[in-house]
Amino acid sequence: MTLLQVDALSIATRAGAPLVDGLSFSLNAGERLGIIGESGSGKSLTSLAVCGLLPADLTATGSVHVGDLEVIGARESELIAIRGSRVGIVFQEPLTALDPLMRIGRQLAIVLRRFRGLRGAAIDDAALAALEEVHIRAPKRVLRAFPHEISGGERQRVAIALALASGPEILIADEPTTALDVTVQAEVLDLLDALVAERNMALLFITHDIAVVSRIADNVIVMRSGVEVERGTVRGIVHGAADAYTRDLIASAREFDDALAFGDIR
Amino acid sequence: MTAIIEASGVGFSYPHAAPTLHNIDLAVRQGTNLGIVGESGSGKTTLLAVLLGLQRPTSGQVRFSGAPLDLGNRDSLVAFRRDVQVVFQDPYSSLDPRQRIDRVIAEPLRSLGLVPAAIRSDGRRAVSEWIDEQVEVALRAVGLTGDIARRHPAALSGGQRQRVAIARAIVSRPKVLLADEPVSALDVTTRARIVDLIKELGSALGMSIVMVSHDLTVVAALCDETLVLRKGEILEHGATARVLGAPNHAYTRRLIASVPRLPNSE
Repeated sequence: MTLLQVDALSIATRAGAPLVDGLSFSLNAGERLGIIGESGSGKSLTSLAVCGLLPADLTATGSVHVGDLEVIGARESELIAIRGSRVGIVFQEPLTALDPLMRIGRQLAIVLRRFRGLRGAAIDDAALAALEEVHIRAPKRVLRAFPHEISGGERQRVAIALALASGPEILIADEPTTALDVTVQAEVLDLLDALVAERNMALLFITHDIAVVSRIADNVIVMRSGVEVERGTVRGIVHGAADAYTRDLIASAREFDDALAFGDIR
Repeated sequence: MTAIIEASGVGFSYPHAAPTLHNIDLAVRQGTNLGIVGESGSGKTTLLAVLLGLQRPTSGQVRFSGAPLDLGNRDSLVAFRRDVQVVFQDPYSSLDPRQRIDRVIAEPLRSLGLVPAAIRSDGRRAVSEWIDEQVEVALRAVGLTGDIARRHPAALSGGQRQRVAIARAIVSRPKVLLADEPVSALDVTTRARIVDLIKELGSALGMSIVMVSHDLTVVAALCDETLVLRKGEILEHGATARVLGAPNHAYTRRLIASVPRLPNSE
């Protein structure tokens, strides 16, 4: 079943400068797609367009279907109906995704009440279960904590728990591990991998890092300056990119990867 | 050979807080690049501040060219700032936006009074010609062409700005370049080019690089020696090939295993 269908999506500034130009892709349940690009590639704008979250001074044309809803040109009330329930999103910086003045437990409770209709003690149980599901070590402490009182890794786990609490079919993860330490990044990638598989969700994973995407997605689109330059399997692209820019991207990543080759002489 | 910078038994505590650094011993020798690897909270930024003389160790000692670091004395301050330069992580905040690039780069020459006496005695015109020439040489060394000198930082890309920051750091012909996450804010293709540049400049100018980073791959690409820092303590320190190839410590192994790799590079 196609959950997300993007056709000829273009995004431009009011002055008409193109930021994304003619991008198309689709996602079925259980499918995972990575979008790789550097600064200015349009990868994050694409993820915002899918949720109808583009800034007001940008205009989108083409078509983005989330289920039956055409997102482009949709009214805010229609968009609210799909955000959370159909599409969840996890951003790079969990501090901006969490309300700094509200305890974690309350933030989860709001989502659980609205999307799952839970009330009273059932909310507390579900909030605790949501944190346990994302492998938070001391879930009771974290429920009572404010965002600034927990570590960056815990905050990103909480952001994932919040995005999943509403039971979306599609998860968009926009550089979800870029701000994290490398050991925490590895844990969070494993966690996302397991949760998405368990729920048979469609995953759109946005990143600048081809090594990161290779851990979680099979297929990727490489973007540059708003345009798709290449798409294929991660393996195919790493080993036989057709486009010169993609080859440059891989060669740069390869340079660092090779530097670690010491680690393989074990 | 006398170390250029040496830390012996260095400890550091911020007021009313648990110690940030414990008993750090390290030496920066000419011709050897040292990588200091650590995650959040490892104390790597504090260690850098101590090595730069920006923080005074609460125990132990930092020595510069064999003598205790004394920045209260103008002559030794000038010698230290001339010989030990720094490049920071964020090229967007480390350059004064109001200054033209040529002034940004010439700043260490002016503030440290590094214009040779013979040139000073020829008058202001000779001084500014000499400074222009040094700036030109530094710009060429980092691969930027002359017309960039008259622009302001806002007109430059992130990679160009980081090249400017490097040009400013090398204009005084330092013996040591301390680099605090100098490429982690950059795109991967730019990152590879800047790491190559720092490496080439180090060997061409006989300048030792001290690279502080959370990123093992960057350290592996650049440094002969690697030091792993965790919770303010040195867990291990040795040749990079040994530390990465045969780590002594379980944490180092976890750090290496967490780095996302390209498919099939095992």
